[in-house]
Amino acid sequence: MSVGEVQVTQAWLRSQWHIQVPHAWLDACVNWIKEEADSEPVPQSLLNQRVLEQWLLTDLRDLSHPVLPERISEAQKTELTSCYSLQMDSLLDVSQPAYTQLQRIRGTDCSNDQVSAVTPETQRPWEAKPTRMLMLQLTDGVQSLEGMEYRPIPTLSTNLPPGTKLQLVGPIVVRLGVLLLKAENVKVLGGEVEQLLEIYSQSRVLSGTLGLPEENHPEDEELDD
Amino acid sequence: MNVLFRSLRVTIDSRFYRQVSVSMIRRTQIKKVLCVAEKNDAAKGIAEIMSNGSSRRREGYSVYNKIYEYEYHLFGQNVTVSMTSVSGHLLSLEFKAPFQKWHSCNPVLLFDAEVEKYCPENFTPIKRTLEREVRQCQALVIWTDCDREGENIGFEVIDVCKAVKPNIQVFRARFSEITPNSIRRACETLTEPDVNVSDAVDVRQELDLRIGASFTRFQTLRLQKIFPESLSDQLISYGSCQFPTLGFVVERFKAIQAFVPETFFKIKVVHEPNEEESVEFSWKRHRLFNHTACLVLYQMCMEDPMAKVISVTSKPKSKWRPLPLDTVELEKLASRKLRISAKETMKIAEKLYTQGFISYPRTETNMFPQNLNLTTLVEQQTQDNEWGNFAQRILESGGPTPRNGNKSDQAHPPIHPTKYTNSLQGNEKRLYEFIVRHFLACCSKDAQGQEVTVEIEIAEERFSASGLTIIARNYLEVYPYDKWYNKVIPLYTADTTFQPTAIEMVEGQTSPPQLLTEADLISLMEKHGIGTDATHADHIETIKSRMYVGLTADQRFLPGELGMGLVEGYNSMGYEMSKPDLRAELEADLKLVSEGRKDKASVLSYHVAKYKAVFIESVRKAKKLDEALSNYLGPAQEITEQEQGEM
Ligand SMILES: [Mg+2]
Repeated sequence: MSVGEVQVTQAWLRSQWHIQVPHAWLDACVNWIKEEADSEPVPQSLLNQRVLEQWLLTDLRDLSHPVLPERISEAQKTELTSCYSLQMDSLLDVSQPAYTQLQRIRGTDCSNDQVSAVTPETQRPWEAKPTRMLMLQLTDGVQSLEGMEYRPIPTLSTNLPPGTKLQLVGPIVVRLGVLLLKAENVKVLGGEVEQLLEIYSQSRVLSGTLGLPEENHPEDEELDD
Repeated sequence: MNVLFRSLRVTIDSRFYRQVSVSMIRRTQIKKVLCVAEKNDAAKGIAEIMSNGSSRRREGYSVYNKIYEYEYHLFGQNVTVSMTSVSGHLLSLEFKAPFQKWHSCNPVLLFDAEVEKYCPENFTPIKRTLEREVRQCQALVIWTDCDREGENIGFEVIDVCKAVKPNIQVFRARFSEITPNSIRRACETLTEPDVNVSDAVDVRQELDLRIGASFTRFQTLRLQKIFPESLSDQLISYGSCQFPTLGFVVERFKAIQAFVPETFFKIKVVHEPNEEESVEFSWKRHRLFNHTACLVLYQMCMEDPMAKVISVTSKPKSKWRPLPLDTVELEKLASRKLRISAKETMKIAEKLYTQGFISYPRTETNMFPQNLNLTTLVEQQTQDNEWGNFAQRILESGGPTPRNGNKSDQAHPPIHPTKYTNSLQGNEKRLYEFIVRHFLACCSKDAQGQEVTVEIEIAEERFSASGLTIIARNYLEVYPYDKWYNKVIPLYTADTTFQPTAIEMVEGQTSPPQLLTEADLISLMEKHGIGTDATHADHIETIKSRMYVGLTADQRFLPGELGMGLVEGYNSMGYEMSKPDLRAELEADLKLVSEGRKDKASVLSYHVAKYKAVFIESVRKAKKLDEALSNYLGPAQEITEQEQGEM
C-alpha cells in the first residue's frame, strides 16, 4: 500500500464529497479493499469509489471523528456556513399524527373510522393535507442534532433507510439547536447502516413517539409457534 | 303470456315494460275484480280515490282488514271492485315439524332441513277473506307496495287465491303514491307481477331462516350452559345482517379504545385593527406535532412580527341546496336534524304515505323523473302559513328548478309531499314538515355568498383568514336544518403591512373518532351493502333490542358486553362473521336474482353451502367464543363431552 494512494483518496473524499475520515479507518479500509481484490491491481478511481461505498455503509459513530462545530446542538441562534457530510439515523413527519402514520404502516387504518354521516366542513386545502415537515435525527458520529424540513425537500422521504448519509450545504440557519433545512441545503448521498435498520424503522420510531410497545415482528411470531 | 313478457325486461322504464294489452283480457268477461293492498290504510286510501269517496265498506273475517266495494271502469268496461288488504306478509317460512323444536336436531341440519310456507294463525282470518272474495271474481289486482317485499307479498296473495280459483287472471298495479293521478295511471297501465323480484325475497327469507336458526340455536344453547348466571334466560340471536351491523359498532368502539392522543402546537395570529373588528389568522402549516419545531418558527415570528398582506382574493361561494330525498338520506337527516330514529322515521313515513301525504318512502332515487309535475306540488304548499310564501316565490321566480342526484331505482321517485295538510301532530307533523321543506329547498336555488380570503406572511410563515358575506339566502330561508353564517373581516389591501395584535403559540390534542350515531351506522351499512335501504332501520333495532348495543345519553351506539364478546369470539375464529363481506356478497346476488340475471336455486344453494361451512367451523372452534365472552361475563362453566355432543 502506498501512502500516496491513501492521501489521494482522502483528498478526493474531502474535495468531492466533503467527507472527513480518520486516517486509521481509511488505512484499514484501503487495506481491506486490496485484500478483497486478491492482488489484482486496484486503480485509484476504483479505490476511491470503493472507499466511498464503505463509508456510506458505515455507522459514523464507529469513526468517532467530529466534523460539526462544537456544541452546535445547544446553539440558540447561529449559522452553518460550510458543507458537512452527516449520517441521518431516523426521520419523522411531524405535520401529521404519529398514530395515523403508524396505522397506515401496520395496515390497520380503517377507512370506516372516517365515516361520519356529517359532511365535513369545507376544509381549506392546506388543512386537508398540511405541508409535510420531517424532523431528521442527524449525527456526525460524535455530536447529534436535529434538522427540520423548513421548506419542502423533495429528495427526502420516510422511505430513506436509517443510516443514510446526507451532505448538508451551508448557509444553514440553526435555532434552538435545530437546523432549518431547505431543498438547496440537502443532498442525499445514499447508503445505510445495517445495525440501525431495525431499531430506527418507521414503525419503531412511530411506536416510540407514541410510547407504544413495538408489535412483534412477523418472523419472530413464526419462531414462537 | 309469462314467457312472452319476461323476455322484454331490459327496458329503461320498467314501470311500463309489461303492460298488458286490453285485447288479451277481453277473452274472459271480467265483471268483478278483487284488489289487495298491503295494509288496510292503503286499501282505504286507494278505494277512496277510485270510488271518488263513494265506496261501501264491508267486514271481512279479519277485523283489521275491511273490504271496500265500488264500481270502476277497468279493462275498458265497468266492473265491481272489492278492495281489501293483508297486513304485510301473509305467509311465513318455517322448518317442517320435525325440525321446529330447539332440541329437535343438531342445528347443522337446519341448512338442509325441509322448509315450508304457512299462514300463521293470526293471519288466517285474512286468508279466509281472500279465499271467500276471490271465488266471485274473474280478476285479481295486486296493490301491494311497489318494492321487493311488496312484490313477494303479492305472490303470497296470488298463491292463496289461485289455490281456490286456479283460473283467476292476475294483474299488478304499479304506483309510487296514493294520489288520484298516480292511482288512475296505475289502473290504466296494469302489468304482470314480477316473479324475479319476488324470488329474491324468497331466497333472502330462506337464507335468513337457515342461517339465523342454526347460529341462534347453536350459540344460545351453548352460551346459556356456559354462562348460566348471566345468560340463562337470554336468547342470543344471530343474523347475517345483524352481526355485521353489530360489528361496525364494536369496531368503532375498539378504534376509540386503541386511540393514542397526541399533543400538537400551532401559531395563532390575532389582529384587531379597531375596537369593533377582530380577526384570527390560521397557520398554513395547520399544526405541528413537535414542540421545538413550532417554537423555532414562533420565535422567528416574534423577532420580526410585522405582517405583510400577500393577497386579498374575493370569489363567489355557494352553499348547495339539498338533493331530492331518498330513503337513506331521509333516515340520516331525520336522525340528525329531528332526532327521530330511523325505525320511527320509517314507521311515520309509511303512515304519511298510506294517508296520501307523501310519495312512497322506500326509494333509492334522488332525481325527479321528467313526467312529475313539480309545479303542482309546489302550488299545493302555497297555502301554508310558514312556508307558503316561499313556495309562492318559487312559482313567481321561474318555477321549480330541482337540483338532481344521479341515482334511480327505476321504480319510485324521490320522497316528496303529494298533498298539503296542516292537521298533523307531534313527530308526524315534524317529519311531514321536514319532507316539505326539503322538497321546496331542493326546488329553489343555492344560497349565494362572497368569500374574501386574506393571506399574510410573518417571518416567511404564511397565515390566512377568510370572511363570508351572504348575498342571497335562497333555499336557506325554507330550510332551517342547514346553517350558514356571515363572517365579517376587516378590509385589507395587498402589499400593505400591519402589526398583529397578538401572536401566540397554542397547543391542542388529537381526539379519537366518536362513537357511531345512527346516521353514521346507516352510512356504514350502505357503504358495505348490508341490508337494503328498506331494512337498515330494522337491523339496527334488532341489535338494540337484543342488548348487543346500547345508546349513550347523546344517542350514540355503545357495544354491550355480550355484543363485544360475540364479535371478538367470532373474529378470533378467523371467520369474518362480524365483517360485512359475507353478507354483502349475498346482497349483491339478491339484486341479480331480482333483475333476472341469476337464478334463484343456484344462488340459494351457493350461499347455503357457504354459510354451512362457516357454521361447521364455528362449532369446531366454539371454545374461542367461550374465551372471548369470559372476558366480560366471568369464568366459563365447564361442560361435559356428553353435553357438548347434545348441542
Ligand atoms: Mg311495505
